[in-house]
Amino acid sequence: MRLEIGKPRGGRAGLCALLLLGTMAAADAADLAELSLEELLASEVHSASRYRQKTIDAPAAVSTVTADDIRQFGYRSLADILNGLRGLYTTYDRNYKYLGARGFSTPGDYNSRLLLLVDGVRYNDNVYDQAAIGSDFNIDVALIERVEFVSGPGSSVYGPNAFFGVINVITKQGSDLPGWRVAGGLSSDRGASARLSHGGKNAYGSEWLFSLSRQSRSGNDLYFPEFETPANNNGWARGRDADRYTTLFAKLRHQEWTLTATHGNSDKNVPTAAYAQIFNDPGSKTVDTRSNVNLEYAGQIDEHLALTARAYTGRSQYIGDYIYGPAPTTANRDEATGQWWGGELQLLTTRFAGHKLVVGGDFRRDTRIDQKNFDRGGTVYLDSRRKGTVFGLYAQDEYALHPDLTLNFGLRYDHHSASGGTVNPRAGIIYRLQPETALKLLHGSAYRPPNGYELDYITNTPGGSKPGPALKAETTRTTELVLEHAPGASQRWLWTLFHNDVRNLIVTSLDPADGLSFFENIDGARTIGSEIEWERRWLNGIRLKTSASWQRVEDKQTGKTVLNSPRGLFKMQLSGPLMAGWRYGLETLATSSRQSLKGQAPGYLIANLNLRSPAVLPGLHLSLGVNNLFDQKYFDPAGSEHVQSRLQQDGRIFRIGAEVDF
Amino acid sequence: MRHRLAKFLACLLLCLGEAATAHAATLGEAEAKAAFIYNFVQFTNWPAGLLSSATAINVCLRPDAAVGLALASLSGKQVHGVPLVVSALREEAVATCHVVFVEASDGAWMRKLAAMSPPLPLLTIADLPDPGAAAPMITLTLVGRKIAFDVDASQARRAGLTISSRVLQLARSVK
Repeated sequence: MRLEIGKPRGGRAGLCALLLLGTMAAADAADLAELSLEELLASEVHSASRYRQKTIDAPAAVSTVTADDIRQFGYRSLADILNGLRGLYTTYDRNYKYLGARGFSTPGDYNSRLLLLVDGVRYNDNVYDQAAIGSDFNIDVALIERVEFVSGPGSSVYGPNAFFGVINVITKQGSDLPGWRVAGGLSSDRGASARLSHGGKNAYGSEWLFSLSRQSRSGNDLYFPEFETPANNNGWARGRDADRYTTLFAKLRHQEWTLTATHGNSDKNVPTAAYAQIFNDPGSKTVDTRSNVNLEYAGQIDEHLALTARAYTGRSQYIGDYIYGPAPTTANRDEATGQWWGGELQLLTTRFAGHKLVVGGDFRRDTRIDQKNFDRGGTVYLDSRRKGTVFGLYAQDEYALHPDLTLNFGLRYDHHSASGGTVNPRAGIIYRLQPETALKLLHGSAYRPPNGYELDYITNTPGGSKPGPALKAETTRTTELVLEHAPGASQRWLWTLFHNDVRNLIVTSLDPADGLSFFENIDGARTIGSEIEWERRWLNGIRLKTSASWQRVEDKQTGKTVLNSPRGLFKMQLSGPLMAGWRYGLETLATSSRQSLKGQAPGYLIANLNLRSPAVLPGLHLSLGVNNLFDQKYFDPAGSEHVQSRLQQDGRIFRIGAEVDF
Repeated sequence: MRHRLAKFLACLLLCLGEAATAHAATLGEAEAKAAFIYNFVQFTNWPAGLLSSATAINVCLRPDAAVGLALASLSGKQVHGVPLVVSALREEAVATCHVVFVEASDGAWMRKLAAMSPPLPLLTIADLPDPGAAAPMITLTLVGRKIAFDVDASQARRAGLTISSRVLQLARSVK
């Protein structure tokens, strides 16, 4: 019986047919001209420039994607959105999407080194600490107002898993998507998508937003040369790449109170025969279900004191079916269920002149961290249950020493019932060389505790896993220099130089004596890198954002570059007006070659094009898109669970979409 | 899943069927400011003869101003019988402008304009008052999540412009 080690896990993202035509920007030219002074005075505005003002003062290099960018470039998943950002890259194994940051995306890591926040609430699960960014993310991207990526260690404020960065997803309010809206799309990879939403706001200041989305993609037939034998259908996995997911979203806001519920279910067939399964079997798949309910109070106690309080509960469930031969086949099932609740409190005060002081604390109770592995109708190999408690206390102060010089200090203590306590500091100096130019020197640390999977996934079966030495938390220390120059609101330059020192990295090792694998801490890795970004908007409506990153991640023991770590990354997003009110969005993404366990994924450059219409009929907007415009053949490195050394990615895909608002 | 969807739909219909009145969506700050500027242009009268000889109303601003794109989307609209155009604010061509919009971060321009003597028949608008700089004729200010504006009508009069009482009535303050 081959009970495989490594966590089979599933869900997958983005390439699905979800052609979500975003909703039209609130203000068409025609609308703007029709707004009276009275209406304008009564309108609430959301401020991009105030936000930008903030990024130049932020003690980090922040990247932002807005709802308008999501529509303009036809992004269909959180992974698509993040893949366009400076220094980030995604990897897809036709099951899950993985995000790399600062040259780090170890095969077998389920995004546990990135913290995913939705409206301030942690969305990483509690079994794998996974940040779901593919079709397993339970929010439709059309409901996202803004995504911010804060690179660098964030544990001094956010605690565990804010290791290489924090992904902050801010969802829309009811007034952002008023009335009923219906959207639908089709794609050439046999995909279809649909969304229905209703939002609004009443005179008492209450807002509501409900949305239901369904995406379904049957996928194309895939050829894997590694399986080129008659017994394996000559290497063809036919109809084995299906990806289907449903998400539900509900948000109610009344003055300072917001209640949000998100739910998603994604069902992904696995075509790669990962974990030594038999090839081209229809039963091989993973199903991920994630649900979250969050209640937030965000209020101003007095002029100088703001309070944010949150209570939340969440549940994640993963069920993987793994089919093993020879005939009659055995279906092995791998399950994980996480359940948690928690709360947090944050006070922000500006009472002391020159200081902006934040203090807070949070608590999480893990009521279930359960994992199970068994042959269906047969042997049980693993049945582990765990509970846990995590709490943290932190303080951060922003001290304006001088109008041009701001100091930023933060300190946080966390305690995990499974792995003990840890302290993470952060310090930053922000110096305004000119009103529009800031130089930032930042230093901080972050940690990632061993997760439930690393602690408990022990099967003790041949080819399986056994207990290793006691695991310590991974830590990282980062020093970073950032130069940001924003002459006017329509232009921004950013340059960074950073050094990371990762210690006690948790990896899977194989004991040659018994063929069993185990987790252990190893020395770690050292990174040096630099990024540059330029963003510009012109009066004629053209917008450009482009970035280039260079980094070198070296394994401290071997001195070699770590796996799946590109030396260079290039991103470019260009959008502008076409005739008759249409707009184009052209995205170019390039990644240099990456090493995999058994080979190499060569570098590539791909382009995606998306066209968006104005209202062709009242309330009706259309979009046309092509992913991988030039039909480039490109690959992502495969992890140790694959026979393949690299996995081919999607070729050219055409999309069409429509959205109607009533 | 099908049952869940049905329930969700039923809930949507029940809970929201009637209450669902779509209220004004929030505007982007830049879009709102552009719409304000467009209104101000409509409710300002230039010295007699000045516009009749003009082929367009020229709104000048720094190419990198945040409102630029929103304002550019209004170019071509007819105001006072001529189309609105948006162009880059350049010192040597300031005399061709009818409206100058200056951002808060650019107080130097406001000082330059204030120093011109005699004053040009220019409607000057700025966002956020810069206490160090000369005040423009109209100042847009973000108050909480809404935009308010203040008018210096006497300065406008000195430049030969008349700002309609409709604007003055809605201003937060009038000098």
